[in-house]
Amino acid sequence: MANNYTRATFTPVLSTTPAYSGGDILFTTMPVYGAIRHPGGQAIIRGITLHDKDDIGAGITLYFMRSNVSMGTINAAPTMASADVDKIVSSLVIETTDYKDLGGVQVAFKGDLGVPIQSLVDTRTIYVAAVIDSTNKTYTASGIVIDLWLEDEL
Amino acid sequence: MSYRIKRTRIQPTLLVDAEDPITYGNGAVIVPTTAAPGLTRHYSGTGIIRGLALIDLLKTGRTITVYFLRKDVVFGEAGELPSITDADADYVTGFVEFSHLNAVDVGDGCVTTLTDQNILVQAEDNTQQVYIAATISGGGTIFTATDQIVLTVFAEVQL
Repeated sequence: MANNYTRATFTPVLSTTPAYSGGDILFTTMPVYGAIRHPGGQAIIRGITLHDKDDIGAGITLYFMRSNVSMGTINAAPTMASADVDKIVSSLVIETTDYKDLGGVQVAFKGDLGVPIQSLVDTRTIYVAAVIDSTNKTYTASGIVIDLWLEDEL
Repeated sequence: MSYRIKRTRIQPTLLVDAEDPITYGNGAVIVPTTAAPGLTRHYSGTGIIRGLALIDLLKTGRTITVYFLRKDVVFGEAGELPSITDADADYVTGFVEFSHLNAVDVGDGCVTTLTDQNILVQAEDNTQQVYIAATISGGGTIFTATDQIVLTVFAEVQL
C-alpha cells in the first residue's frame, strides 16, 4: 500500500470572554475539509502542531468526529448527547509540556502519533472540537492555528 | 507517490567572535533559520523524518532543540531568545529535543541520536526547501568554532 502524507491546517473560532475554566469547550465542532483523501475513507494523524499566538500554552484535548455533531456550547462544559458520542473517532491531548516558548508565541508539537480519523460516506471532511484542560485562560478569536500531519492511502 | 530514505547532513554556521566571545544564554538561538536541503524534493513536497543524530563537537552538556520550518522566516538572532512573529510562527512545523542526558561522549564530541521518529516536514507552496533553526538550554555556552554542531537527518523523501 502506497501512502500519502499531507498537512491539514485549520483555525478554530475561540471565545474571547469570559476566561475559560478547565473542562470548558475551547471551540465547538468545526469541519476540516479535505482532511481525508478518499470520500468515506480513513487516515492516521502522525503529528500535530499547535500555534498559540496568544502565548498561553494551555493543556488542550482535541476530539475528532466523523460527522457534524454538537459537543455543547463554547466556553461551557460539554453536553454531548449519548447518540452523538458514537461519532467520536479519537482524541488527542496537548499537554502544557508540549509547548515551546518562542517569544510572543508558543508552539506545541507532538510527532510519532497514530491517531485514527474517518470521514462520512461521500465526504472528505472530518470534524473536530476541543476542551481546554487549563483554567482561567483568555484567548483572542483566532489565537490558535492547528496543523494536522496526515498519512492516508493513495 | 513513493518515498525514499535519504540522509541529509546539515552543518550550520555558528556565530563566533574570538575578540568578544558570545555567551549563549538559556533558550538562546544558536542556529537562526537555515536551509535544510534534501528533506523535500518537490514544490510543497513532504518528507518524513525517521531518525536524527546531533553531533556536538564542543561537548556543551546542554539540551539542543531543533525546529523545522516550511518557509525562510526570521526565527530570532543568534545569541538572543527566539523572536518569531505570530504570523511567521505558522511556518514552524515541529521540533525535536536532543537532551544532553542522552548524549554519548565519543571522544572529540558527543552524539545524541533519536530513532523511531515520524516527523512530517513540508516545503511552503511554490518552494522546495525546508528550513531549520535551533536553540540551546542551560546557559553560559561559548562556541569556539563555527562548525561545532552537525545535524544528520534520515528522512523518507517524496520522489
